[in-house]
Amino acid sequence: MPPSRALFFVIAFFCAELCYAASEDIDAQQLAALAQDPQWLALLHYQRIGLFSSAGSQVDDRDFFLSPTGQQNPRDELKATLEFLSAPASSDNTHARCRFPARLHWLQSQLPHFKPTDSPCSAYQQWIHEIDAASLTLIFPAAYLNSPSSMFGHTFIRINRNKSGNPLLDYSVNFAAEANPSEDQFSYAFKGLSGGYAGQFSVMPYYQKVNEYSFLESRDVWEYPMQLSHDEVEQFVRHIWELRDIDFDYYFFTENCSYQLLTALDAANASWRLSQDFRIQAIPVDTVRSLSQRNLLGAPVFRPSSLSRLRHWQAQLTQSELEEVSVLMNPSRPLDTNSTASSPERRALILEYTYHLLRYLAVKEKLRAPEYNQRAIALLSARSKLGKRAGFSDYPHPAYSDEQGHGSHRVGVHYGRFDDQHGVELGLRPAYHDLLDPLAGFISGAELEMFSLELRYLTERQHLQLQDLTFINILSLSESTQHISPLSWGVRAALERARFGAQRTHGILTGSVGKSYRAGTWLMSGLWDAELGIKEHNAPFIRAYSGPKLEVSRQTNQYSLQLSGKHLRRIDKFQDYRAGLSVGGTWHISNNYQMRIEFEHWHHEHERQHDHFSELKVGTHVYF
Amino acid sequence: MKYLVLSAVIASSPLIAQAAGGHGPAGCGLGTEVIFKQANEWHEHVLAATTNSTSGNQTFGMTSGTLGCESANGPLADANLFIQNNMEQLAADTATGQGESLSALAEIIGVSTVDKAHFEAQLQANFDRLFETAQTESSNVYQTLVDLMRQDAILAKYAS
Repeated sequence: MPPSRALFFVIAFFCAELCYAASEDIDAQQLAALAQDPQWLALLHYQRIGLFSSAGSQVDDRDFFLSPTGQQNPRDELKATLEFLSAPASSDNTHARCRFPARLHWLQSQLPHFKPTDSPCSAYQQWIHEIDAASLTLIFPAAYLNSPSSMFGHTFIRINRNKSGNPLLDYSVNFAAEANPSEDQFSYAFKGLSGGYAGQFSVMPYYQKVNEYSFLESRDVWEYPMQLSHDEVEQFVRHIWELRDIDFDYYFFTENCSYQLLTALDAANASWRLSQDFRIQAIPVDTVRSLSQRNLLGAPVFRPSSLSRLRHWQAQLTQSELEEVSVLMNPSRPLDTNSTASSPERRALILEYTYHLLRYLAVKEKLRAPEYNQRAIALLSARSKLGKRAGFSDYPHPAYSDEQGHGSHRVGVHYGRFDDQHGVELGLRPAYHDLLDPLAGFISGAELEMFSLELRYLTERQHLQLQDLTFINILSLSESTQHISPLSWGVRAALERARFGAQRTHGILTGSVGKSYRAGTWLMSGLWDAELGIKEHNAPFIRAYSGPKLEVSRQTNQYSLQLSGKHLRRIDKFQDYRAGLSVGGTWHISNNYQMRIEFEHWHHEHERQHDHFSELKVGTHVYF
Repeated sequence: MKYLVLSAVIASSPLIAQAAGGHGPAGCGLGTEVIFKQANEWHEHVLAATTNSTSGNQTFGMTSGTLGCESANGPLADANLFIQNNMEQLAADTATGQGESLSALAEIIGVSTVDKAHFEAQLQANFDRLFETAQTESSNVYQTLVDLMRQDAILAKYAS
């Protein structure tokens, strides 16, 4: 920098100090009080996270601070902000007031005599004009089970415009990790857990999110209108502008999409203290609950995914119409668009259903997409010739929304007879849902458990032992129907106590694949299991088993039943096997309270020694 | 260019934005301001738009071009971008003559409530012209739409 310019900056800086001092008599005491105001701290994202209170802001980006010490010291940042806001504006869009409109707005409300410098801020004004905020809607795409990283769900905000009734044209505000899309799900999960990604806020048209969730991922979406004042809406939007291109560290469980959305809302009104509830983990559905408990959400609107809609439509077609669909969807059969078998009304429904079916399948089976594509356009063309028709009935509003489901955390106590021993079992599960938990607000046939712990105290032996520590357990039993037959699958990684021999604790890894079918209210799944036992007996280190597994379940809002049986043989030593049958039943007294009874019986053959074992336990679970 | 293809693009994990960076913020489509400073013809807008927004990289609502900026480009340019980003859904809605995306398109173009049913019916009747083959590009759909409206007594006023 040439000396003359440097001098200019020094003068400008001192002038800023002087101009500011002249314009406002703000003493050190007032400055200190303002700097500790919860609203100022929320605007700077000074939030506590984890078990220890961390000093400073969660924003990990120098550009967000005007003072070099602003990330650690809110008073320095306040002082610098006031100085920069009063400094002369050199050109349009570069002045502090164009960068920090939310800070400016709040400071002006606190310091009525404060006179910041004027600047047109044309880029910001254009953006605000384009966003045209009238109100906010919280968007919650519900979890879907075929992608491990989505299971916790997601939340973002739609900014509803003043001038439109069509939500597709509104903007949405989304906080997400900036990951490489080509990265596989496991490195995604690992980096997500360890803070390896930077997160940023982005603003994009809502139609883009709808295309992504409803059609590509086939996730149901809940839309909750937020009950905020106009001031709060405007301050939220101003603050989002401040967060443009600002990096946050992204942590999957804590500083994630849902959590940072809450910190951004806190910046609009710190008295909500929304982010305070989520220092340890932020499961999206819990953040929805938290907003709901503060009366910030109205009754939600349900936007069914393409799969939900297809299943609803399929139920409205007759068997012979579904046969016609099978013919129409087959790209190798010529398309007979002049079938006279059905009325134009029914013909329209058949064509619409077939088109949407192909569209769904094209996402699932990428390889066949080109042939589906040709057929799809022909189907639409045929449909267009039939003019306007009534179409299918609307998707019914589900009785329960996701946030009305049972709490994410569960504790339980059971009393039981474990073979020849009596005992008490204590269970603790931080997340999330199994087939026997209350169904309301959850998808049927879906199970996701993380870090579930079971301790057993055997009364006669006076011995407390670790029974089971499940790191992760996922089960996705999606029913197959005539045209849609997704794979059912499961994975489980756990430490569990062997039921035989010396009853040592060993590691276990299980994977299952198969198909599920619905018979009335029963869901039946046939799966093939592969299981690795790690350090099960003294040697060898790993033993592999494999065999069939049958799951039958019936889930209702009042009770649930589950029956499963499996027969696994050791791969390298076929005489060795383990076979088990388990039956469970639960009565859902309320959404957060249930009684449970479970029975298991196992047979085991190892080194020509036969053994069997059974246990029966009765108990209760509380969700919170 | 966007073709009318059934979603072959698989969205990455929901927690991951496709904001891969490298696409700076811009208003009304990157091109109109940065690449083609004097973009006047519709096809220049198309080029400008498609160079930037192929996979949802609009990170801050500055490149979407569906909304606002009417004074600069006119509602039809916005319609062009909307078509490009919603080809599948628009084809499905056009075939049935109704739907959320078709309504959104009518709104962007500024079709009044009185003319909306006519607009939808006209598009449906001309489905084969608009979506000729599975390889139809969004820019062609847009141009056919403009031609179609210009030839229609009621809709011509929206396509001048």
